[in-house]
Amino acid sequence: MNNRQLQGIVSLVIVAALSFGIVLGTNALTQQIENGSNSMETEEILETELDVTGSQGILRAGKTKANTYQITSKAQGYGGEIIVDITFDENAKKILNVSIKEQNETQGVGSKVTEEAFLQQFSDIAAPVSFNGMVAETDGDFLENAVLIDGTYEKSWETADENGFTDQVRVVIENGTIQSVTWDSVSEDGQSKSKMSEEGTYQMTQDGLSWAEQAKALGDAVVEDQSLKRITPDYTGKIDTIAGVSISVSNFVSLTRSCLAQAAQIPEQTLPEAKEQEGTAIDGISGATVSSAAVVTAINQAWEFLKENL
Amino acid sequence: MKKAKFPVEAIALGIILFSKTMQEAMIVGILVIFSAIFAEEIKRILKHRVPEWSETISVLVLTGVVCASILQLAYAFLGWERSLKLWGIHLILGLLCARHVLWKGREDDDLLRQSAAVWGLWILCGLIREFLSYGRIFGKEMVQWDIQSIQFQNVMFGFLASGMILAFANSLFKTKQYKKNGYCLDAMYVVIPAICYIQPMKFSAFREWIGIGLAIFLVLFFFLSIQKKLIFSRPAPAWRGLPVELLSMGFLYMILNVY
Repeated sequence: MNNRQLQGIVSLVIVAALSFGIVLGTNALTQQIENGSNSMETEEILETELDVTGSQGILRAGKTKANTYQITSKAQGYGGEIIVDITFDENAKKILNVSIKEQNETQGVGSKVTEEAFLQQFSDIAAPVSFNGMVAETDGDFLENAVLIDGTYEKSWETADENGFTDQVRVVIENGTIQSVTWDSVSEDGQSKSKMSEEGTYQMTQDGLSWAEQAKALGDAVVEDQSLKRITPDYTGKIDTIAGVSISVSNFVSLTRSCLAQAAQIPEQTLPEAKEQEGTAIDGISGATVSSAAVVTAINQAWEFLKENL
Repeated sequence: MKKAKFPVEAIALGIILFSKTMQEAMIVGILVIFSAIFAEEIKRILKHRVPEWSETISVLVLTGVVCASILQLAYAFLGWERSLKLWGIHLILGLLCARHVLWKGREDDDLLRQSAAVWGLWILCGLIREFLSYGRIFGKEMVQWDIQSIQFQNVMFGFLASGMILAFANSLFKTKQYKKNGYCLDAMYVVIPAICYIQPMKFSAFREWIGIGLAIFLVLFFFLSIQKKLIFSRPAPAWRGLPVELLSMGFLYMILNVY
């Protein structure tokens, strides 16, 4: 083997060793750097880490040295997932602090969930969290002995949602009974959500009922029961009592309730109070319902996780 | 001026696509150099032992495959995203190393010394791009400035960096990458894989593959028309040929990124 050949083999061996060293070394170095930058966060939950396997929406959970519970939870917002850090007290009943770790919401609209004005509402409050004005328990029984006056009663929601749609409900009473309940959502330029969903221009999911079909199912349920008893939204505004209905129904319930109260000639302010909800009601961000609801969902997911695992 | 002793096209393509961070530049660079030295050794071993055509095919295939494999292994070990497209580019890097060894280099070339120097510049490029994009060096947060922008990760800066590094290397080693008439066909070996890997724009009105094909054709068309004009310009010797063509490609990407 001459010098040139030996030189070549030695070069190859040196470069091979150098390559290995660089790959291994850079990997170790970047891991060290990542661990170092995360140390501030992991210090909070070094005490005990809880197993989050199989828990929907929970990314990390544990007990801190200060005896508080730190949960990282996620929920689907308007522009993607919103990741929220929530701190609970030692009894896991009170929310001490909420911060938004990551969000891709619309700038100036949904991104307001990161503002102090919204987040400070979660400081030192009882869990779970709901929105002000949300009906959590059924109060359809107010119609039990009421006489409904024949006619058509219509109510519209006061403000448009972040997509510019305003909810409207029309209740038709004939012979003292509820004949039909129609729910639609109309944009400023007059476009109807039910018509758009029938035409296929407003599509929520590939599978499942369309918006128009879900609205019809809700109306049919009220007609069948002659009350709102089956439609009892939870803190997210959703129900699981009518097959296929996955949209938020809080506005529908409020507007239908108003129409029926008007048909029964019962002043709304005299209606029985909704049963007291557990937890705290907060204000959502006007025009950013989806983003606000995502934060609330993430917080309540974390609260339920602690309830089940402690 | 002499010809460069390092695998110019492979390193140019590597700098264009793999200099977004310092770590990436370090790892891809050293593995490309390893592939070039490996190709040299394989050629030396097979020389006079097999017919020339067999030697050529063996060096090409072995180097291409070894380069693709070691890069894919490195990516897998580091947990970086891998894809078929990426494997294709890694294979092309290996083939370009083999091409240099078979047809451009000479047996007594000191490939390692010049490659190491250019690798150092490659790492520096990665450092600067990472710092300007994220304010980080090797993943470690350093400082946040207003001038920092994620756009420095865009491939157009890869082209610009590649042209500048080659020009610097040319002036350092007194080498050149152009023919007497100033025309450089070698640019095609770099530009075509880069355009196929990442296009500056998309035509969403058509099917995906038609849109991509149209974008590649358009970029190549613009590049070739620029290349024709460059024959008449008179840049410094270190810049002539591949470096200035890569620079012009970078500006072309910058303009077409608007779409």
